[in-house]
Amino acid sequence: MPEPAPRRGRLSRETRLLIVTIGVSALVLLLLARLRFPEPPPIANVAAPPLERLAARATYDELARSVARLETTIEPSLIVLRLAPRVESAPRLLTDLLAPPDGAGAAGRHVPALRISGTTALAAIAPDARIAGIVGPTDPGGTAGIIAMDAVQRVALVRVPPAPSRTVPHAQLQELATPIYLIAVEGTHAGITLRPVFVGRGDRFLDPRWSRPLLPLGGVAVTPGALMFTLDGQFVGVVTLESGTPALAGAQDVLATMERLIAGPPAPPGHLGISVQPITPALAAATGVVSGAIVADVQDDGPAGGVLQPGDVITAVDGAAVENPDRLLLEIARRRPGASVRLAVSRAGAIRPVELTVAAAATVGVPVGGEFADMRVRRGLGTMLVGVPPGGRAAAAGLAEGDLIVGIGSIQAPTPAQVRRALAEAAPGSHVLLIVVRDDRQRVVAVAAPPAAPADATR
Amino acid sequence: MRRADSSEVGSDALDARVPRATWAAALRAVLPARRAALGVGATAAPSLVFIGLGVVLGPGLLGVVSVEALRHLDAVVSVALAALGIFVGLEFGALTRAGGARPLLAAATTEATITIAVVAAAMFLLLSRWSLPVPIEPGLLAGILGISSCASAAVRFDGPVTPDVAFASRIADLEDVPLIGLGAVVVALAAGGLPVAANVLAAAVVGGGVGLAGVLLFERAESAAERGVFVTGAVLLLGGVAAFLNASPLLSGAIAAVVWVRMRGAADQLVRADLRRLQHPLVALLLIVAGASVQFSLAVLWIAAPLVLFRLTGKLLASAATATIAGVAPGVLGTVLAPPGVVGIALALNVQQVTGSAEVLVSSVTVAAVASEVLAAALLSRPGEVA
Repeated sequence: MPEPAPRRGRLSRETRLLIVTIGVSALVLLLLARLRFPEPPPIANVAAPPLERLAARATYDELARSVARLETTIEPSLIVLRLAPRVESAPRLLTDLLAPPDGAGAAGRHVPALRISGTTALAAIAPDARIAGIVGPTDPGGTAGIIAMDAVQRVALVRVPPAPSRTVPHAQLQELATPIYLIAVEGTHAGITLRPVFVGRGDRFLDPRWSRPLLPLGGVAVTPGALMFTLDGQFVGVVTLESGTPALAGAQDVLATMERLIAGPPAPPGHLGISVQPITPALAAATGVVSGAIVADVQDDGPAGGVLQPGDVITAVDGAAVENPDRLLLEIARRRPGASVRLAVSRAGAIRPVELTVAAAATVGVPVGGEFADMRVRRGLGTMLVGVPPGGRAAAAGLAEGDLIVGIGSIQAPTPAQVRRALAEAAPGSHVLLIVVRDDRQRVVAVAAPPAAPADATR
Repeated sequence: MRRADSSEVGSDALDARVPRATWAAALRAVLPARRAALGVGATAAPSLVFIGLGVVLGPGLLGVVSVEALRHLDAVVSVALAALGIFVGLEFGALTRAGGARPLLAAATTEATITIAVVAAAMFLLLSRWSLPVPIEPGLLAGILGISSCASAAVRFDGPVTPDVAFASRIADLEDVPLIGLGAVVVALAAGGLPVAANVLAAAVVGGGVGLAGVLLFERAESAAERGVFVTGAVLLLGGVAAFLNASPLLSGAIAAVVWVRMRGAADQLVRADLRRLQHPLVALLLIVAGASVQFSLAVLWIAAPLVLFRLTGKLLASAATATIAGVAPGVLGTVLAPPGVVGIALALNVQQVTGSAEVLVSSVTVAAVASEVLAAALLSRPGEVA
């Protein structure tokens, strides 16, 4: 019997393999196409962001709570002073009406003051400022006024309406760690405003006006005269302007000044009887000195009379380099009258040492029998004011350096002696009329006679 | 490997017999090349061994081949790519010179095109949906994967082979030609900088220029040593200039080899004889570098796994279509072309060089090549069963 023929499959092995492979591939393709590649795991700590977010919210909430707390704790110790505009009775011309209003002169400024006793407060105000009143509590007696002022540091001991006061703790500016949030207390026509400000990291710097370094506040939106507190209500200092930029003067310095003002009239600022100018590139080329202060005028009867002459360049004071005229004047102003000072003076290319004795520029604070102003005779014209002590009667009356007194009472073209005699003979509380010429414009100025001594100037 | 007419076939470095009197003989003694001993094709052993060696020596494990060393080996890799291109070009040139190349070329191109199309389409579909963290645009990446997948290594058999097997082996060699051509385009796309056409043209000009120089120099050498210097210098020049231009050293080498074959003289024979000594070390180095460059990650797994499957599908589909056209047994074509070739890994290394950040590509192609090698071994017919 023949062997049966071997049975053969319909499809070859390779065909079956191909079909299976195509089927499996199609299935795998459909399945894999539905997948998504898993996202890479987050690298950062998952726990940190929620905590950080919580911390961020807490910081702002905490700030708001701190401000609310401060309002209740320190507000009783704060007063807003309304300052009078700088010029009250300047002659008006049509051009003045058409000229755009000067923000400073159109309305008085408001500055905060911190009570340091039942009837006194400290405030940072300009030397020529005058307190017109206070915001808030009524002051029918008009007692608000400047008791004494440190014209150099521009802080004043102010008399305020009596009220219970509490001692406000103060913080050491030198120990303040920046960056930090502080509370800026400012005054407005509506009263006190408290707002948090962020003070970034900054290197403290020395200024001739102050004993301790100041903290720069560049970029911080605060007005000069604002009072600064920590979040827990500690007084940190006052905002002052140094070379046009705000800086924070420490509470220690400010309170020390208040102590001196309370103890007695402040020592008058030192004065050398010179006026100085900054060194311009042209002056630097002419004198050969690039940094310092060039002497513009020398009073014959001043400490520098006969020693310095116009054109001399003062490059250093007691070994410290003079950066600009303002620094030089401030440095001299801090010297007590009678103290000696060593200057490095450049003349004709040669630098030589000069020692002078500082004189009193003018009395400040309570001008009882004090110098009205530095005056020079202008023969045939009258008396020119070459130095107006800040905070004095002349400044309070609106007089300024360069004003020419052409009449006082019935005296025409008075000499300095005649002006002093007329002012000294005026009855206490009365006024003396002066005819003054400024910028070729004649005006009438009333100078007040010295008031009576304050009833309570102590803590 | 010899065909029925006793002619040599196979330009793939792994197809050539390892010379007995060389250091590789020791390796051969340790790792039997006989498919029967390992149960896999003879060509499987070298690529598995050297890639595995690269992985072990690479930064991921022992760190003998550190990241810094890999950076320094970049130049050597370029030279190795140029040498590989020369081998492909020599084979192609010899085939065209011998005549009867058109049917083979047509078959090889058809097979390569279908494989590339299947793999590229499937991978593009997946890559565009997956949003993998790969610094190559999905379309370009799919194209590179498809092109590298079409490379095949012919199986080694002991004794004479059937005409179908010989035909399949020729296809395996010739499909490197469209691979190199398309590879030059994707390398130009990946490199950026020069326009694609300018980049490809630059590679061709470099190859042609060095080829002409070789024609003038090789036969004028006064000694074998001098000729060896000339040949080595030509290979270095091909690899170095192409790398400098961010072009394809594979294309430069292939064109130079075609010039040597087509021009009058024996430059091609001289180059073949001299390069045979460098052939295995360069390819081994290429595989070790590829293995050392492998960085295992989830993205590599996501790419390599489907790539193996789609490559197999593409190869089988292309083989069936080509076999129908060529009139050979489809089973033979499919199983012979299944094992992956070195040129695919070389293309991935070239792309990594020009982009500087295609580690996922090299890793995926290398891992897929190893997996395909193992898969092909499971599908290969035993000796004597190929019909």
